[in-house]
Amino acid sequence: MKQKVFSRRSFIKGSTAAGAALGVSGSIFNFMFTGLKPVEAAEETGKKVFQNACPRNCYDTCSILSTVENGVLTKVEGNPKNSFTRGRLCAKGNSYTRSVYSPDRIKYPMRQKGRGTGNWERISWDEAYTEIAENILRIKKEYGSTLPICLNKYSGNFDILHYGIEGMMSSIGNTSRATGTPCWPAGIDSQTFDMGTIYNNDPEDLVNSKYLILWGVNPAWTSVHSMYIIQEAQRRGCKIVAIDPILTQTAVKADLYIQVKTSTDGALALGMARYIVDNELYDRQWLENNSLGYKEFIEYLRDNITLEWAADKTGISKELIETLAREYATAKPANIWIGYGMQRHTNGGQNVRAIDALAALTGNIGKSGGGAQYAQLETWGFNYHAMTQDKPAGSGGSGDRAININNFPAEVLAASDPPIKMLWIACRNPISQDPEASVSRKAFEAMGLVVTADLFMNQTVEMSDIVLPVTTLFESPGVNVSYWHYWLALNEQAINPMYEAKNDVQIAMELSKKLNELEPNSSTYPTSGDQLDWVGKEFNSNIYDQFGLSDWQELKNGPVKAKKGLIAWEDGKFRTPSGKYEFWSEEAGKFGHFPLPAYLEELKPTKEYPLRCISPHWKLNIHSQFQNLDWMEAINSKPFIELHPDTAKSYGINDKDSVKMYNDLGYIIVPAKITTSVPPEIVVVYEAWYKDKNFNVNFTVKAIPSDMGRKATGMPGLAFHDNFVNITKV
Amino acid sequence: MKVVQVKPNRKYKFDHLQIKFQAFHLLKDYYSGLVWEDPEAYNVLCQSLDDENYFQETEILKEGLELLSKIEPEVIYDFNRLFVGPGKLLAPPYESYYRNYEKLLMQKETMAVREFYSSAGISVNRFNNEPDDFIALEFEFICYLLYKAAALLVDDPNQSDYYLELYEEFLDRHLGKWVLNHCKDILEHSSTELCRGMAVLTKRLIENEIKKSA
Repeated sequence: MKQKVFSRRSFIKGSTAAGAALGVSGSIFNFMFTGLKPVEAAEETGKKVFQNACPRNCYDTCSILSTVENGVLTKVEGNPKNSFTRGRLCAKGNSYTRSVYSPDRIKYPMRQKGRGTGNWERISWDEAYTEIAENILRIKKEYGSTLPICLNKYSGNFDILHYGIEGMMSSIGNTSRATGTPCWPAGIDSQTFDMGTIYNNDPEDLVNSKYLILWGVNPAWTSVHSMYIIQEAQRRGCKIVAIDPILTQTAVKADLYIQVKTSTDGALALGMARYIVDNELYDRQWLENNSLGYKEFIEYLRDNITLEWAADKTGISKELIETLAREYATAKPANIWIGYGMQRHTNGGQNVRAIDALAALTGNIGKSGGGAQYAQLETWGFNYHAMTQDKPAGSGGSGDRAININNFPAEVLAASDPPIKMLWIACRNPISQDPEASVSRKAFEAMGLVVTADLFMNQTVEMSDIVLPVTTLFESPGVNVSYWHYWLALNEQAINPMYEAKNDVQIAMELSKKLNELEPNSSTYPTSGDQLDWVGKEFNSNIYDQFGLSDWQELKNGPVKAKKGLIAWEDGKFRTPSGKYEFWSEEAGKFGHFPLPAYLEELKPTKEYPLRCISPHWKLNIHSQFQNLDWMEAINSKPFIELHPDTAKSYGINDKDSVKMYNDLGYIIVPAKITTSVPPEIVVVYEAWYKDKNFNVNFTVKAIPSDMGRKATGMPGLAFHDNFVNITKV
Repeated sequence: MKVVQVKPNRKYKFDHLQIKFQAFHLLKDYYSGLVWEDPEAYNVLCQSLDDENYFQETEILKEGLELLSKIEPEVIYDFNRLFVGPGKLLAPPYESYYRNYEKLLMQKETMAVREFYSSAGISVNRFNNEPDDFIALEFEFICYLLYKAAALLVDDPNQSDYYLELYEEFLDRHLGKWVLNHCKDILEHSSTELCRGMAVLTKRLIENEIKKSA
């Protein structure tokens, strides 16, 4: 055989191996190690356990112990040191080894030749940075600022270091930002008007309640560790009441389930309040000392609210409303947990205010076992060092531009002077999760460059030009807290990043380096730094004081719980303008709301679209995460529509029949699941991203704003559950 | 090049080792995303394989291999859909995907490959970044064993035999246990002649080598 040296070329664009003659030859003696090497010293072996924390958008933010053997993550389990997690994870958390080692993970930076074509080429990180940086600099030159660059980042990873993505944007100049939150803003504003901010009791304190109303919340699916505490309270004699349009897994475990007509929760609360007032079951002393405007509220109730009206509105009998009101007002302490689902309406904010008012009227606020629980951000007082970056001098524009996250695609398309030309997507799958999915596609199509950093291929990656592989929570360090419980947990790097995955902060550093190579001083982001050091930079004396720490490194021994502030408003110092609980809120008035918790009419179905579609959380996912994993698919691999038997009958639909659910915006086709757990006037489709399925309930969801959200989050929320549809058998 | 004297009674002649080495090296390069630029390289290899009676359909194979030198963008897209991503891989190039009952990566099957490498004094460069049973690494390991066997053929025949035994054992315990299924996936899902051609080549190579060692 002829001996001849042939040169090679690489499939990988920008690879250092490309074009180089690496000595592939006809000769066996030209063997060179590339991927392998002779063993120099014994590689790391043995078993190690690391501290991790689940960073998902979930109440529970579990403390995790990860077992790593020979550098491979072999097991995840709950950390028993966390008394909320109690050594357990949920089905999703237990599946983490599945996502880390899924063959489907995005492994390398890749570039798509034509958005949506599926024609991907592998590129080197350097090639990716070069293309992105050149694009950024070109935009800045053409438009005089970096405002045509828009970031859409939210809740895919709530680790504090991940705010470095926002920092990366700041470091290049003024940019456009998806602003607001799709999840919970109306309720946040309600509690902000009433009490000054969102602030819940330590959920572990639920065991001290004598009466607990779970109002529009389904912890059996969405906060499994809270469910243990609720059932412990029940064992200790607390009566559990579930109020929900859907007979949820939580509701079936309650002592009393009340099926309220969707979006009329405020009417129920006001009816209860009227009963409490009429029967003088309110805490006059507490109201006198701690509140503003309670007399006006009582007057409003007497003038406008009757129990008959409330019964008619809510579909709950007057007698039951009376019983509920009496039981709630006389049990001490009595507690209400307000879910996020019930505020996803055009009257959601007002409904939450009405429920808060019940807790205040009965003097339950500020007490162990009492309160109106929604969420808390008390434990989030980090430095946001990764996020806080200076804007480079002379980079143009006079400030960031807010783009409503709840009407993102339409606002991206409408943005002018300058228009939006580039999207950076991180910790989000907007095409799956945003309303009006078809508009999302149009907005993506209008871009010059779309960069998405993600773990798995999904609808958003499909519509991107460049995808960057990111680390899982086990592959880079961070620090996590919850918006519900009061634990603080370090997230240690347990394993090497697989393939070519990088952490978002590392991506920001390396992009900054490239930008500055191409144009000096075009990015202020540090170009190097140890990630764990960056975790340390997030801490300050307030956090140390709150958690009884003298150094953040103590967290390597395990998570810690806040030492104080565990009972919300215990000191009676509300953060409202008056410093009191405000039934009458001038601030609410300034934002165009009636200053009192008043009833705002709910949206009603139309003749054309007579059914309300609710798209709540599903037990096997968090939004677009987890349902794609095989363990979840083994339990359930298909979306479906839940219909009441009467509804199904009137449309001639049998169980498992294929049903088209549609409105003027779009449609989905899914099998029917006939169940009495939903009332006849609504249908339920759980919001989810299923791998390889053209399913998205948001094909039918319009970007209708909820009533509140602008004060605390910058943008109103989204009325996901005011979606009216029709159905037909197909 | 070093001149090697080969005794005629050796079971594996140097030339045979050389040809196998080249074939496996081609596969290792291919799965690393590297291809020879000169079509001549493929012709030379094809001819050698043909001389060894590896193939009956030499012309088809040649055609397929020659395509390697003129990579069309479609080939790269197809290659990436099969082996690289970013979507769900149609033919994941990892042993544990085919042998682990949950089709996960970095599992005990991967660790068995790691141990095998280790027994031959070898480990993975990007340790715990790249699965040890990534096909390009397994082919590189095979090349290493063939290289050692050839290099020691004259000076230390016992050692040379030892590497040949490792070669046969690795084929038997690893590559031979999954690569044929992997090729089946490629032939089922691939849309380009090149990737299909490479799957045929791989299949033949493995089948022949298993047969020989059996």
